[in-house]
Formats: sequence, C-alpha cells, structure tokens
Amino acid sequence: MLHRQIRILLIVGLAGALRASAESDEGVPAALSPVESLIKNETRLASGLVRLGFADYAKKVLEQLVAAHPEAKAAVAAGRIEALTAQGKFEEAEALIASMPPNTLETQTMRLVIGDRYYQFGKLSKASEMYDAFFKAYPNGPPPEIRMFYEESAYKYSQMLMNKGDSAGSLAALRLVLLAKPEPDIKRRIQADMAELLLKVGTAQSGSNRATAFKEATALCNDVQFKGEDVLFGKTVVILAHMAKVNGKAEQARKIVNDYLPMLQKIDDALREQKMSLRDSPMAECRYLLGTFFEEDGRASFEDKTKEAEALAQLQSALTQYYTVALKYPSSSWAPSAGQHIDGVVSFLESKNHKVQVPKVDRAPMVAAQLKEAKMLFLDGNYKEAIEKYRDVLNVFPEEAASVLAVGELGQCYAQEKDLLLSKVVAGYLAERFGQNEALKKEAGNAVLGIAQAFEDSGQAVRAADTYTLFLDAFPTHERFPAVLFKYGEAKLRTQSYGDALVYFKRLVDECPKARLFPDALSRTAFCQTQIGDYTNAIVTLARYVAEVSPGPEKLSASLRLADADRQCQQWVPAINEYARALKSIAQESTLYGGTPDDVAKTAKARERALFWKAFCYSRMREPADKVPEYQAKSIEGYTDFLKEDPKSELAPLALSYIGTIYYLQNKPEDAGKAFDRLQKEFPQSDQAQNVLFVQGKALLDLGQTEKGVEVFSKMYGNAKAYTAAQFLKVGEIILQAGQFDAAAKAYAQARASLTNATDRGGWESASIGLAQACAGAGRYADVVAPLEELLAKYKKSGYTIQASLLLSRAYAELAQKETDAKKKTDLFNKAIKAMNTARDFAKDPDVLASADIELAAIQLLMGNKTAALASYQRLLLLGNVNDSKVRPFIEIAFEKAMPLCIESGRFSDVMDACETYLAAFPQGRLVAQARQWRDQMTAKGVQRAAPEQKAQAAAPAPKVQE
Amino acid sequence: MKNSGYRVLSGWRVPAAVGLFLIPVIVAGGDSLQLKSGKIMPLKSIPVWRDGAKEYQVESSEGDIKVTVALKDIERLDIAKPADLDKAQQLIEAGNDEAAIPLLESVIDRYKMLVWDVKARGILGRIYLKKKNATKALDTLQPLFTSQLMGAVPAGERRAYWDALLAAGRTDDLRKELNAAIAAGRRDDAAAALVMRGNMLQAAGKHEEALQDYLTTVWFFEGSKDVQPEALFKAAEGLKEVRDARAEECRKVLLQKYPDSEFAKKAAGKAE
Repeated sequence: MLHRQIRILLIVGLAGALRASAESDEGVPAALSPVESLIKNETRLASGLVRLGFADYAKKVLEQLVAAHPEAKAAVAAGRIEALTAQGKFEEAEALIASMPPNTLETQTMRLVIGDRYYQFGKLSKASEMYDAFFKAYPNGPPPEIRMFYEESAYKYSQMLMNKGDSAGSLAALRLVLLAKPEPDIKRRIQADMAELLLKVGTAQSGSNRATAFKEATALCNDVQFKGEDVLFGKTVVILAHMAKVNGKAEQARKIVNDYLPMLQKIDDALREQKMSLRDSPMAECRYLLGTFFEEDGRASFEDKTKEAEALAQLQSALTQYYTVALKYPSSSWAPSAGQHIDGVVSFLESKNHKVQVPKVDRAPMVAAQLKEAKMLFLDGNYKEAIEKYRDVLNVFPEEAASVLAVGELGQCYAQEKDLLLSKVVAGYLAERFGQNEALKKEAGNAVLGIAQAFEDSGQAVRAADTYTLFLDAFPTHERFPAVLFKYGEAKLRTQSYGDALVYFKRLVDECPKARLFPDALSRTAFCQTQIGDYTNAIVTLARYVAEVSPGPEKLSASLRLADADRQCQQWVPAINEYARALKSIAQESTLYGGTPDDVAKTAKARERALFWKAFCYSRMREPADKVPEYQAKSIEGYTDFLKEDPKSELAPLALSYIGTIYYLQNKPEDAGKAFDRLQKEFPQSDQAQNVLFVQGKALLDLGQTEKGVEVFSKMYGNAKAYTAAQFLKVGEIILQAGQFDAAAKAYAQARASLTNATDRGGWESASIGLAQACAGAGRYADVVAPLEELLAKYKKSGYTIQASLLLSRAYAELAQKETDAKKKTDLFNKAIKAMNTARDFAKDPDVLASADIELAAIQLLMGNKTAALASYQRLLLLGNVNDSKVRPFIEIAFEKAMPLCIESGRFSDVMDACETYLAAFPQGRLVAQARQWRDQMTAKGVQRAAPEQKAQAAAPAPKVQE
Repeated sequence: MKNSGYRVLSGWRVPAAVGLFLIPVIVAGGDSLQLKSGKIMPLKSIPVWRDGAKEYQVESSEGDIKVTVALKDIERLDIAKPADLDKAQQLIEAGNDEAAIPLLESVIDRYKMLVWDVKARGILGRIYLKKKNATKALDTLQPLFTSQLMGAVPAGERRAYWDALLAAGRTDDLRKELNAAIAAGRRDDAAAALVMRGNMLQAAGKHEEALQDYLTTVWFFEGSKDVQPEALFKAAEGLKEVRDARAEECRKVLLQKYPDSEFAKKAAGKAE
C-alpha cells in the first residue's frame, strides 16, 4: 500500500519535471498553435516516461491526449508504439501500424521503432523484417527531409546484422548509408568498414566472386587512403595486406606490412596516449597477420633439420604476436583466431618434443566473442542454426565457465526442437562432466535447470520432470536444490499423492537443514505424515517445526497441529500440555497475534479449538483409574469455559452433548438433562439436537465408553420407525469401527430391511456390505454369504463388486475350512477362488490388487497350502511398490505374514533379505522391532547379512506427471 | 608520438611484444626438470630417486650443482629414452614378446619414477593382456596409480589398465574407474572412458544408454581423435537402430575425417 502511494507521488513529480523540461527545452516555436504545442509536449512527456520505465503511465497520457484532441492521433502514434513495444506487446503495435496509411513517412518511421524494440528483445528476424520494409520504400535513397534519419538507421541496421554474423547483409546495409550521401568524414568511415566486410566476404568465397569483392575493397581502400593518414588509413593498409595473403601473394603481403609497420605502430601509440579504444587499432590485425607469416615460416623451417634454431625463433615470434593480440586487443575480432593459432603452434612444438611454457590467459573474452553469434541465433529462436554454431565453438573451448552455460543453451535448443535424444545427451554430459567440478558445477546446475525449463515452456512436462530428477541426483549441493525439491513436493501435494510428496519434503528436511525453505518443508512433511496416518512421525516432525519457527501466528498454528497429532495418537497428556501452551501463549503474548483483523479472527479460532480439544482430551483419560472423576470434572470445566467464550461456535452443540454424556456417566441425570435441554433449545437445527439418543450413543463411543454407547444405540430399535435407514446405517458404521460386530450387524440388518434397492440402491448396497463385514467380524461366515450373493447377483457391475467379492471369497474359505465333508469342502474352496478371481478381474488399482493378494494368501492358508500362500505374499514383497502410500500397508502385512512361513520352511536367507529390505523401506514402520528380532535370529543361525541396515534412503522417485 | 621500437628477425621488422613476462617461452630439448614454479632446469645426468623421502637428487647443468627436489615440487621430468625400451619395442614388432619381457622389467626396475617405467609398464601390461594373463597385467599396471609422477597416468597406460580390469572380470572396479575418468579426468581419458563404458552397456543390452555415451563422445569430444572413429561408428549403428536420420551423418563424418581407420573400413563395407 505504502509503496503504491510513494510510486504515484514519484510519477506525478517526474511527470511535472518532464513536462517542464518539454516546455522549456528548445523553447516552443512561435509557429505552433497552443494545441500543437500541447500535443508536442505531451508526446515528449510520454516518451520520457517510457524511457524511465513507466510505459503504462505513458500509454495513459497518450490516451487522454487523443481523447481530448483526436487530431493528435498521428502525432501520438510513435509514443504509443514505444509504450506498447516496451511492454512486449508487439502484436498490438503492429496492428496499430497496419491501421495507419501505408506509405507515409510516419508509418515508415514507426516500423523502425518496432524494429529497434524487436532487436532489444533479441528477435533479430522480426527486426530485419521491419528494417527491410523501411528501406524497400526508398530504393534510390531517402528524400532530403529524412536523410539523417535514414543514414543513422542504415548504419544501425548494419551493426545489427554484423552482430548476427551476417557480413553480406551488413555490407548491403552500409551501401544504403552511402545512398544517403553522408558527410565526407562519415563516408570515409563507412568505406573503411565496407572494405573490411568485403575482405571477410571475399575470403569466404572463391574465383570470380572473390575477385569482385576484393576489387571493390581495393578501390575503397585507395579512396580512404587518398584522403588522409590516420586510423582509417592504417586499417586499409592491413586490409590490403590481408587480401594479398588470401590471394596467395604472401611476399606482397609481407612487404606491405613491413613498409607500413612504423606508421601503424605510431597510430597505435597515439590511440593509447589519448586513452582511446583499441578496437579500431590496425595493430591487432597487423600483429595477427605477422603471426601467421612467422608461423608459416617456422613450420616450413622445421622440415629442414639444419634450420631448427631458426624455426624455433620464428615460431617464438609467432606466439609472441598471437599472445599480444589475445591479451592486448581482446575485443578485436582477431583475438579468437589468435587464440586458436596459439593452441595450434603449441601442439606442433610439443609434437616435435619441444616444451612451451604457456602462461595462463583469461580466455573469457575470446570465448564470449566466439559464442556471441550462437547466442544471437538462440535468442532469436533460430534453434537449428544456433545448434551448429554452438557445436563448432564448444569443441574449441569445451570447459570454460562461459562454455558450460553455452552447453545449457545448446540443450535448450534441442529441447525446443523436441529432440529427446540429444537433449538427454547434453543434460547428461552437463551433470556427469561438471557435477563434481567445484569451479563449474554451479553453472552446470543452472544449465540443466535451463533445459528443464525449456521443456516446461514447450509443454513437455514429462521430459521436464526427468530433467529435474537428473538435477536432483547430480547437484545435491546446488543453491536451487531445495527449491526444486519443494516444487516437486508441492506438485505431488496438489494431486494428493501424499506418500510421494513426503519423499521430496523429507529429503529437503534431511539434506538441507539450513535452507530458507526448511521450516516450510518441515510443515509439509508433518502434513503428509498426518495424511497417510503416520501420526507417530508427524508428532516428531511437528515438534521440530514448533521449535524452528519464531513466536507468532505460525508457531501457534504449529503448536495446535502438534497437539492435534498427539490427540489422534491418543497421547492425551502431551496433547493437553500443548493445547495449554498454545492458550498461554495467546493470553500472554497477545501483541504477536493481533496484527490485522484477519490475524485477530484466526487467533480467536485457534483459542476456540484449543479450549474444546483440551477438554476432549481430559474426557478420554482413563489412567490412573482413581483420577477419572477429576479428569471428567476438568473436562466439563473446559467445555464450560469454551461455551462461555464461544457460545455460538460450530463446536458448541458437540460440547453440550459431551457435557451431557459425562454427567450421564457420573450418574447425574438432572445435570445431563440440563445439558441436553440447552442443546435442543440453543441449537435446535443441529444434528446433535435432532437426535439426542443417537448423539448420546456416539458421544459415549467417542469417550471410549463402548458398551454404554452400544446400550444407548440399542434403545433405537424400541422405536425403530422414529429413525431413518440412514441413521441405522450410520450407527452400524460407528459400532463396526468400535469393533462391536454383533451390534453392528443388527444395525445394518435394520437399515437393509427398511431400504429397498429400488429407492436407494446406494444405501442398500452399503448396508449389505456393512452387514457382511459385521458378520465376518463376528465370525458368522454363514451369514456373510447371503447378502453378498444377493448383491452380486442383482448388480453385476457395482462400486462394491470388488469389496463384496473379496469378502465373499474369505467367507467361503472360512466355511470350507470348517467343513468336514470332502466334496462340500472342495466346492466351498472353489467358490472362494471364483469370488477371488472376480475381484481380481475388476481390480485396476495397485492397492486393490495388493489387498487381493493378501486375501488370496489367507485362502491358501485356510486350504492348508502354505507354499502357495508364501508365494502370494512374496509376490507382493518383490513386486509391490513401496513408494505407493496405498500399497505400503499391504506390503507390511505380507511381510508380517510371510516371515513365520519362511522360518518354518527353513528359508533363512529369504528371511534375512526380506528383513533388510523392510528395514530400509520402512525405517519407522510398525514392524521394525520385529524385523530386527527376526534378523538377529537369522544371524544367530549363521546367515550372512547382505548389506548394513540403512537409514531410509529418501531417493526421490521419477515424478510421474500426467501430460 | 613515441617510437616503441622494433627488432629485425629473418629480415622482417617485428614490433616489440607488450608485457614480455606473459609471452610463452620455448625451451630447447634434452633432459630437463620443470618445477611447479615454472622454472626449467636442464640436467647433467639422470636424477636419482629416493623412495623413502619421495625426492630426487638432481645434478643440473646450469652452474654444475647438485640439489634435492621433492616430488611435490615437480611439474614435469624429461629424460632421454633408454635404449632397452627401443630394443624391447623392436622385439615386439618382430613378434618376439617373450624376449621383450626381461628388457621391459629391467627398464621398470632401473627407471623407477623416471618417466620410462610408466611406458615400460604400459607395454608389459599389454603383453600380459595379449597372453590372457589379466592378473599379471593388473599387477604390472596397478603401481602406476599409486606412485605416478605428476599425478596423471598417460592415456595409453590408463586404457591398458582398464582393459586389464575388464579381462579380469572386475567390472565393478572398472565401472568406478570409468565414471571417475568421465567426471574428472583429462578430456582424452574421459572420451576413452565414455566409449569403453558404452561398449559395456551395449554388451549388457542397454542400447539406449550406450548410444548416449557414444553420442556424447562424438558431440563433445571431437578433439579426442583416437576414439572418434569407434565412437562415430557405434553412434551410427545405434542411431540406425532407432531409425534416426543422423546415423548417415555420423557415417559420413567417419569416412571423411578418418578414412584409414578400421571403423571407416567397416562402415564402408557395410554400405556396400
């Protein structure tokens, strides 16, 4: 808010200053009318705002101007174009131009403004389009009124093309400059530049093309030389010598250089004395040429053994010249070539068994110069051509810092071209070759991330994910490592894959304790652990998180989460203590929690929750038994305090029902009645009020008073019509969860009887399954069969088919086991297997298939076939995915069941392997102690351990993103 | 304007170098010892190695002095090749490996830590590999990695060691060596390691990973000419298998740049 206000003030102030400047600068010509003057000043103001980075405000200024003065439309066009292109809105800008008269000067100049902006954004092809369109409009040169503008634009264009590596294009643009008939000094400069380009173009050609280019260059050089002895004179001397060399006239070339060397040296000295740039010094190219002369002589002399000393002196001179070019003229276009020649001469000498003391040279400027062209193509989106340029350079300079980034850009090119094979090769090379290189691993990590981003930008999510995984494996100490882990953890959270998300967050917690994201990772880790039911570890993590964060709303929230986790693990005392700590903090450090109305509301909610659940925890405490009345009293006191503070809270009905229930337990019916009356009076629409009996029964079960709860529920049957089938269904669910199977069966049967599948198929199916589950829990397998067979017969494809088939299979197997008649026994087992096959036919999800494996093994055991049962368990142990949070519980069951069978059958090494695997995959699993015990037993029997026990290796799996 | 001056060499004017201390210096051949400081000391006689103290006793021909130089201070040692080594090589070329063995063992013994023991070990290691005695080959080559001067085993000898590991079936050790060379070795070693690892992956049926190793060699190690023919050939084969049109590009480069290599001949033969 404050920043916005300051920003507005600054802009208003600046606008005023710019306006004043626009008005006072150069004065207002007397010929302009007030409106014309206003238009001129406002457009200049807008231009100034764009330069200062306030393009959106500039746009508003122009829109207001046109609204007030429609005649200003043409004049503001340039400003509008500037404002739009500064924001990257090129399409809008081009549409604006298309709406203007096509061949006017104004439209043409607008094209160049867009062209300039395209160039700034690295879009060379588009920039060229705009410039070409402009120059095509004036094939014979510009009209006088735009001569200067035309000349400057043509020169600018030639520089753009030169930077792109387009010598021929740059040359053509320089010819346009001459069409504008520039001043003599400028003309001479242009002629010298053209001669240099003609040298480059001609060298790359041959035959008559080269001759034509060199002829023109010679004419230009002569023209330049005729008009004075200066830097340009020196430049043309070297160009003439170079052309002679290219034409094979080495002697002529050497003579030119030799004759003019004193003069060229003087020019160089003058530039140095006047502290001017050496980029234009003729000595760079001159020294380079000399170097090539000496190198050729030296190599030739080596052919004659008697001339070895002379050869060494010549090559020494060659190296001297090349090094001087590289070190003293690094920005010259001859420096990179000089660097390559140095390598060539050194290799040649070493092959002749001569050592060279090579001083270390900073090659960064050379590498940058070489890569410039490739980079321009890459930024322009010309990936195919960029790839070729990068490859050429990277094999000359493979392991400089700039090279590593360039390899990354090469990888991005392949990614944009959707070339999976080569992009993998590049990313793999970066990771493997530079991942452990202390000097370059940071750049290499950034380069790999760049490739991953390129995949993301081009919609290739799977490949992006693979590349991020490569990054995580290869660059664990990179500064962005925590951020990438966090990003993937968040992506998994969004799809509710808590087990997979947990792996990423846990890795961040374990490996990056100093990262900025460490506290957030702790929080997410605890959340994931809670979601997968791993409350034990969630508590440990939350305790760390609470210790990590500073006092304030975040710490309060963390504290409550910790208390909730303790409560869910039925650790009542720690939970109570944590809720109490939270309440104390709110009371004593209120300044930390009252920043904004939002914070105040959140804190109130937190207090409400803490009060309620603290009271709840007291109500659940049973030890020591003689203290239970005291706990109940504290519970009631807590609920009462809660109701005083938050009488309208959504938890208030529950609080009242618990108070009533506790009084009921204490044999205080009057007090219980008061609580329930208040419930019905103050919250008549609440679930609790509408069904006190139901609520009472549930409350008793919540408080751990199972028998009393069931007793209350049973009163419902006395007046069954007063209750809906849905309520009986709910009762069945609740009682089943409490392990009261017979009572649950009765409730489900009641619900089923009052439902017909015509009116409420879902409820009837649910009741059928519930009834079967309850009967199975009670061991009444004969009663399991009927409702399930009925369900499966009625509905061939139901959402309950798999569950019903699994249950039915178990029921038949249990019945078969008890059957004494051999034929009936076989029939029953066959029915069990048939039901199992139905389940497997329908099952698609890995966790359902895992569950089916467990059930199948149970049937096989009942059939007395331990070998087959063991095979079923081992299939799950070997093939089950431990990283799938839904499959993990079944893998644990398989492990638990399989080990005794293995021990019994003497497969001790299998036991050892399985225990080691379990301990590695389930470091905090419920069977850790048992696994260690089994392992120790095997060790005592002399079985060798395959590998030491490992801490859970939280290696991040390849993330599976759906494309 | 100042006249910076210039000198004459071979009849041509040569401008003075700017910053003479930065110019490379060519040193004449002959026995010499180069220190890490950059100084080169020409030698009057072959240095004496002292194993216990890890140093050389050196007699320099400059000022006729004897000095002791620690191994850690030495950048490079250049000593004339022993005649026995030439003799051994001639015997090997003549097909008489057995007669070469005692000569090579003698060089190893007399030139311990004097450069030529490395070469001799490399040659002797290869003889044992040829005789399919991987154990002896490893015994001969292993000391290169524990006592090598300058810390860098020459490429030829390193490859011989890898071949010996492969022959001895020590693929885990070999894989570690190759991965280390690729990650941090000299570029020529890294290129050779990539090709060798590619061959192991190919043999294990991991064609895609092998192809990646070959392509990495071709794309990023063009300067390592020794291994390029094999890498180009195998990359072409791998690309052909996955129907990638660049197979032909690799084949063409192989035939153009390395026409005399055995792999070029294979490629040419296949095309026919």
